[in-house]
Amino acid sequence: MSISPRTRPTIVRAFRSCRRLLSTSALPPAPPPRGYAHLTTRRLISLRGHDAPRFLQGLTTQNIPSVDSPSSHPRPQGLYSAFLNASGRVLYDVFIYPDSRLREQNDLGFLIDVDAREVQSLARHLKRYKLRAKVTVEVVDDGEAQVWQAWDDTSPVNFLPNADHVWTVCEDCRSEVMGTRLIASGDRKLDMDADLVDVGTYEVRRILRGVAEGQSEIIKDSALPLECNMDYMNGIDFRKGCYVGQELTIRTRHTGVVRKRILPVQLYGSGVAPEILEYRPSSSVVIPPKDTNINRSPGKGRSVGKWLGGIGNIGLALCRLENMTNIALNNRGIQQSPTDEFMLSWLTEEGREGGEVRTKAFVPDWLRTRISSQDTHGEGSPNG
Amino acid sequence: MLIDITPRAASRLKEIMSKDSNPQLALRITVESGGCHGFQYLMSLTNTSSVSPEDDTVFEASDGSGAKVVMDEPSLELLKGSQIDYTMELIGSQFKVVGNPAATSSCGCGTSFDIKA
Repeated sequence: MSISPRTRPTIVRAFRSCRRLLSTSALPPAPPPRGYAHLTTRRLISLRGHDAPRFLQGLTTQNIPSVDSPSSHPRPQGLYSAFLNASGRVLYDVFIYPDSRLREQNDLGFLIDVDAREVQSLARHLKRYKLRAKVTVEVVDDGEAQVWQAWDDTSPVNFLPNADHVWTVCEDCRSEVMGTRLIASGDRKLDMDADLVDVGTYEVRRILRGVAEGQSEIIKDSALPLECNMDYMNGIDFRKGCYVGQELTIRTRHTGVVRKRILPVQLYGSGVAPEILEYRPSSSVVIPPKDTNINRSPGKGRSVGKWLGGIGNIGLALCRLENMTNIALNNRGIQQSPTDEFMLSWLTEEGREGGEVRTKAFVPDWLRTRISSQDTHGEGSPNG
Repeated sequence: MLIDITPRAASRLKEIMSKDSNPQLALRITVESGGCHGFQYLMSLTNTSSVSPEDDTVFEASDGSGAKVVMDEPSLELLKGSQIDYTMELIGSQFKVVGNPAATSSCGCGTSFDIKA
């Protein structure tokens, strides 16, 4: 076990309460091909002021368009990015949108879309670095603005709805399979030509695509940006100048190998391993506690992954690629044996039943494509 | 509140003062966000006449050299107890903040640091 005994009780308690929640409410329905959801799991922070672009530039992994960049370059509507700590671990995964409301007021600013439970903590983090910078940091009230996601799997073109009270519409740049991110004013329900679903259904869809989001999956002060696939999800600019946490990130990119990555996994009780990743809302599989190690079955030895969380029979896990997938690293060839099986087992603790469940990891197509295209092109550019 | 100005730093400042024949000269040290550890030091030469009475604090070396260091309020918060040194190395000579008690870690080049949460 790699978690220290001191932190363990909290994790177990947190899990117990979430299990209670699951047992009283049914699992969310599978995502419709064309749907939209209000992401109650996300909140917004407004950062405004003359120094806002430069201020963010020094704190995030993404290149923030500056005011004086040539206007011939189309400004992106939204960027995926992360705040890291000085040793290169992820603090928050965020989207950063230019605040379009400020354009008329001739002011500069951004809206930052962050895990709802971390919104106050990110606001404190930003204020800590403020010093003399001309910026103001404010948590946006949920009634004022909300984060939404929309998708249309029936069309190759991204769903780009336009309505008066939608301020920002942008492609979810993490992956083309994710859909569209929207910022809408909070005083009205968004009405779109698609099925309105709960945030739980969005989470199912996100997990199926192997996209981790929020600090229950991207663990604060511990997760590494490359292990969370942020390099393949357009979250890191490897050519930009200094930002907090750059040293380790750029060194890993250019001299290291990323052996572990977050992947979607399916849980199954017995029988043969599933061929395709499929969510079953009727699943009765018991969700393992967070941080449960994944081991080869049968057999002891070093764990090959760690469970991060899930819904029903699917979830996300940090997986050793060479052991749990057929991806080859370092030209060492495929290490995995197709007959390998993987097991999560946990012990009785604080009156909770122990248990075990089998699991299989899947590499989403979009991720496999990006991993192999980086292999053939070699390592990108020299660092900046 | 104390800031330690090393004899080397004081004599270097005195040198610049006499070279520029400007007795009002002072070294301004500012902390701003940036660099790979989140905060960085900015050094500049300034005149005591441009010091703001509300916002700035002027430190004068106690050795009678007249060397002065200026810090604004938020920067002083993160710099108090530090030592201001003048280092002469092969790579170049420069004023440097050393032994900052607020810094928990710093980057390879030493210009950027992190503070306790």
